[in-house]
Amino acid sequence: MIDIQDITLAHRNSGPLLENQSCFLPAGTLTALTGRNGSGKSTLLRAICGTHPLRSGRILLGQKAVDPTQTTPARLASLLSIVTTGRVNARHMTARQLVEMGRAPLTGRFGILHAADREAVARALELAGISHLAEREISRLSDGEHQRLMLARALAQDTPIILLDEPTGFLDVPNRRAVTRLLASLAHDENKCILFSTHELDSALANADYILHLSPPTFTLLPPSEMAVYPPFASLSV
Amino acid sequence: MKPRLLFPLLILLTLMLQFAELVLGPVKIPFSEFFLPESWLVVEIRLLKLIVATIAGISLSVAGLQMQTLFSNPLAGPYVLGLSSGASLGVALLLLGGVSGPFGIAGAALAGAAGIMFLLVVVNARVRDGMSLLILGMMFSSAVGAIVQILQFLSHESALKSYVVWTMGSLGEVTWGQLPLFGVIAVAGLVLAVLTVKSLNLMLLGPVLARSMGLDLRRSRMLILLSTTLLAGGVTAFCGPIGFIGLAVPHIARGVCRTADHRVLIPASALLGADILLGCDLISRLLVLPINSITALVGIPVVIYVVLRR
Repeated sequence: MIDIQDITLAHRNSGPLLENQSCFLPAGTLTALTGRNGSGKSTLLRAICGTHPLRSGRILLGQKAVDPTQTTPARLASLLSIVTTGRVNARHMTARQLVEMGRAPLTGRFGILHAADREAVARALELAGISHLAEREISRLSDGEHQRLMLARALAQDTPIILLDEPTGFLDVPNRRAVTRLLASLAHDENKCILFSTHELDSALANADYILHLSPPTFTLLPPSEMAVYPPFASLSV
Repeated sequence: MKPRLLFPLLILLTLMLQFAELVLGPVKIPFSEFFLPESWLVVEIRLLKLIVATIAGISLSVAGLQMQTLFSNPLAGPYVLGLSSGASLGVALLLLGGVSGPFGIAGAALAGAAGIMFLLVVVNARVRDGMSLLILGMMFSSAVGAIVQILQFLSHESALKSYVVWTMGSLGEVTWGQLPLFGVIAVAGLVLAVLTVKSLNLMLLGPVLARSMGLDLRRSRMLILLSTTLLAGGVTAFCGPIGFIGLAVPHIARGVCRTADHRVLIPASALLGADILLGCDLISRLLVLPINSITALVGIPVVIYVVLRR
């Protein structure tokens, strides 16, 4: 779970994006993070990862309430995995090899995989629906396939929290729906706390358990049915 | 090619090239006379040179691979951060500036490379990303180049000539007395390189993902920097700057192994580097040409191929 306690968040040398805001995202739920360009979606995600400093307040992660700014990268990697939009560009690397990298926080100094790791990799590939692409070089994957691959890598990392920055940004409509549905079933079946930023309000309303809508300097957390009639959110979808 | 097949083949090739280094040369020695005392003078020189070429080929190629991954830049090489400039400043101060040191040219070059490395470790703790480090490295290198130029301008002809000869590189200047130090430096660099394989693999995914998988970027960058300094700095200290091996060999290794995994690429680059430098040395010996002109002529087509394919 993600426990946001009374945080004030700002870009460097500018006014606050969020002022004294709190919310709690429980395990087993999919939350969509919405808001206009520049409303601070990526900044909030970075703050949850501990890479963007808070002006005040704190964010606690997981059952043991770990503060990401107070912990080691290795410890954080066992709690939280991320999915970014950029393509990975490594010659000759196959999809399976990239997903295997997700096991890095759990393997030793040389990253040697044991049977349990291989099983987790196979399962991650299957959950993301790309088992058939495992041996393909990543440079030959389509954008949709690559996005699923990045999700599989995060799944292989086996963390209770997954953050995704616009995972559906470059995808066509059927792929967008498929990926958001996949995220919802992962959250429910694997009891993960998943937070993804998006501009796709329809798929967010259709699949997410909660919507966290940013309108600086505040945010609002509501289930989709209530969010749909919340004026600042509704005005976005016109 | 599968590593299980490739590595024995490469080791065999290395041994064959090392044997060729022993027997080929302007002075013909029949195999029957090889172990006679009167042949020893020539054989000893060749033995030393084949050891030096093997160490230098391994070191430069592994250092080049590290730099290409660290900066996600296929055209990076062992000297991209100014190690050779640092070494050349040390040597220029010795040969041109009249500063005398206790360990001769090698000591001066090592001190110069270590100086640049120290500066980079200091700035590494302050900069956020690899690109800033790369730019700073290039700036240090240019600044040092300017100082060397001033020294060249002010120095006498004979001193200038010995400096220019050093910049041409040579595998034949190392003495038996220096060899243990050269070897220890290279082995230390290689051990560090092997210990950082996992970091190098993670860096392929970019800094954001690498960090999210628990990699301490600053610490890894520092260890890799240290390893490269030992490897490339050591070679430069004892052999002068040897060009293009460190730039070209990692690409050949990737092409041959068709993998991005550094657990394969490090040993493959090391063996291929040794093979190619041994081969270049044989050519330079048979044609009586400076080694750097041969490594450039062998390496440049590879670099052109890499650029055209992108």
